[in-house]
Amino acid sequence: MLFNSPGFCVFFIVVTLLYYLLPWSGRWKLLLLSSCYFYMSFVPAYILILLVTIVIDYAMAILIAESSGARRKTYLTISIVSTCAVLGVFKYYNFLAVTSRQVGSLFGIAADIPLAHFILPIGLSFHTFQSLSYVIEVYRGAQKPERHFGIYSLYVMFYPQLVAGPIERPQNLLHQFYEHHAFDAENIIQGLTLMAWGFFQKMVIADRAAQYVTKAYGNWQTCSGLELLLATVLFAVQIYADFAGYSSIAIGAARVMGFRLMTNFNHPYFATSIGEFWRRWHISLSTWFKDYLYIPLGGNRVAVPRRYLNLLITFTVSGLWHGANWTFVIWGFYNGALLVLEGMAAKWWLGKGPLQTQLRRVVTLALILIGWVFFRAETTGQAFGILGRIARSTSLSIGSIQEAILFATGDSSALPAMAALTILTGGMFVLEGMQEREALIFDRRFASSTTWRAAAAVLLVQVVLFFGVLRASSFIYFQF
Amino acid sequence: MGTISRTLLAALLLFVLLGSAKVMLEHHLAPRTSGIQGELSGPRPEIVLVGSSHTRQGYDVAALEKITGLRSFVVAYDGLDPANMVPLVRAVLRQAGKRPKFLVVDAYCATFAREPEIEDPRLFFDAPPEMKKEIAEAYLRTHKGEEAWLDLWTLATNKGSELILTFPLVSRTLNGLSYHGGYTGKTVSGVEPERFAGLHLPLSGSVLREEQAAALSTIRSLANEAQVRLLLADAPMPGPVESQPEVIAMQRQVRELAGRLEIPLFEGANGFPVGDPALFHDSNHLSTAGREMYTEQFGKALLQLAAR
Repeated sequence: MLFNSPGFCVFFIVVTLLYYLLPWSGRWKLLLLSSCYFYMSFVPAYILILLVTIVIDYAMAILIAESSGARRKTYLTISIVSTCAVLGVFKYYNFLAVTSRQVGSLFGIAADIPLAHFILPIGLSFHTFQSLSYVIEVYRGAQKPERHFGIYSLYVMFYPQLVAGPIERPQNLLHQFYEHHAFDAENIIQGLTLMAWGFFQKMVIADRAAQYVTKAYGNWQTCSGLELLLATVLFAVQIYADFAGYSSIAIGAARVMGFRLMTNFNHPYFATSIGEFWRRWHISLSTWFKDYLYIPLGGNRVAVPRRYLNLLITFTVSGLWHGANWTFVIWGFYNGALLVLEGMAAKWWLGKGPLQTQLRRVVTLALILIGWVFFRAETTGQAFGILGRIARSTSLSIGSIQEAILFATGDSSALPAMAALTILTGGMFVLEGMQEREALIFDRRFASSTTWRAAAAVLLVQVVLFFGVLRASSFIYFQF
Repeated sequence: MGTISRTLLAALLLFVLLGSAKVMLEHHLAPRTSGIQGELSGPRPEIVLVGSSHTRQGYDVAALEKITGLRSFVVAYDGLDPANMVPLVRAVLRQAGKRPKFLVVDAYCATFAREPEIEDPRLFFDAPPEMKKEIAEAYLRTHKGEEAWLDLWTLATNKGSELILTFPLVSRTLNGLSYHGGYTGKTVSGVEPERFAGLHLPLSGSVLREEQAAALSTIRSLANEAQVRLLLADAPMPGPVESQPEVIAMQRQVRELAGRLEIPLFEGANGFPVGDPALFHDSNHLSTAGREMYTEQFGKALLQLAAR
């Protein structure tokens, strides 16, 4: 059940109404049941995989809390290995099999490793990471083990963030299931406004941009450099609007019921360095890797060369987390390498003059764009091919610009479509830029006025209905 | 609770208001050099060609005018089938003083093989309210259930909004992209020779749909009433497509239908070098070079018909 489908609208309204109609004691049951239903609307059988992870991590966390010494570590290891094994089998088995075959053939060994034919359970990487986060926090003593199996299951399965995050920490989310959330119009309007913003980002911006990107990347060998450059810029817009849109809908849907989920995006394209970009992009995952991989590897407390190695390891693993493909590994490594270079050049690169800040913003964006080519391409060959064509055959003549715009549909309807996408995307970034400068009059109005928030929600709903792509399309991050 | 219900009510009312305004007024923003508004708003054309992109890409309008000496206009929408041509033809033939001499209807066999469908939302956007009503009613006759209503709702409120938003910016350029409904200044390349043999046209079936046959019959009646000469014409398709068994079967049925209805049929593939990849852009569209060649062939045939 996609957030941007009519089915979700009905589901959301019914669950929210029942949530407020039920007595407090029954609400967790409703949320757990509705989360199960939500998850099972994708592939019903896969709920069993989720159940296995939940049972193991639930039990291991209690055992960790009740034991001492080496046993604690053993239980932690069991939890991590079993949770990662599920991820490994479903997400990485075929990747490893194909890679082994390729490596074998290099040495003349015919490694006939069979491929598995199952669909990746939706959102597997997200809920396994949320589950791991809980067990690690219990091991560290920062979180008490949750003894209520239903509440713990709900922590892993809470439907707004079940399939694509934000990846919550137990300290932020678990206690909220014990809180009494009274009906509060303020929360509801806030949540609905956030959801409307999310739908705007997904259905109006991301899905419109996707039409061009899909066509260009699908026919990259016959596209001009300018068409591929435009497609890459649009992909940068698409992936941001798609994932930030999803996050806003998730956070908004939770807020309507009184829950507060963590912020996942903070205007990342306004970043003036690669480091800052990663502090603003997919914050729940970036901080996850920082807390559970980078810092345990030594973080910043080690010698500089080791610190750089830690960065490379963390970002390469993060790339692999996104997808079982060498394109993601290269993308992760590329971003890690950029951070290393940024660290090495920090003295002259990270100056604070206004001109230098703007220049850094442009360079950061350009470097991030190069990375997105690997993220979007299906093979490394395709990614390098696209970059090569952009570098070699990008012409900025009027004729080639017109051709590049009309490429989307092949006829004149592409012109207003591209113009509208430019205006709407521009509008989105202007609003974000104003928020960035904390000068947005709406922000101040919003802080004090429910009416203003309601008006914004009404306006956003109109924009979505009139300009959105109404055919429900999946979110990019659902595949992870 | 009051705030929430007021917000929902405001959203609903605003949506109804804006949606109604869109449906009633959007055709005023439609391009004036293409589509039905282009045909209705300009001076009287003597040849009107109605069809799908197969037609749009099949004729060089300026060349056709030069060959025939007759002002021409192409009214084409992607995937336009005979059933959806009926309201267009009715609109074209409605004004007594503006009726063309020749009405040329696309005989592209693929559209005769499928159920009526509005593939190009510009058809609805460009249509004045009374024509919109006709299109919607026809759609509901062939499509049932809530899906059909949802499609129409989307068509009415969601499609074409980008043109409304960007009209002051793009209308000039948009009008400049077309001459009398056909392409202008756009070079459509030929297909790569290595891809040519593999060209294939997917058809929904190989049996003539009753709704499409009935629509052609209606078009004939409208043309007869208006005393306009009706002609069916099919632009050529690449050799590998022309020799597909289901294409051959469909073309035969269209030929038989034309015979039954006594409508002259011009089959573009006859005498056209369908084996030359440079003349075709893909499985059912001509390249610029192919368009020029076919237009000349068609123009001469039309002159012969006019002389009879």
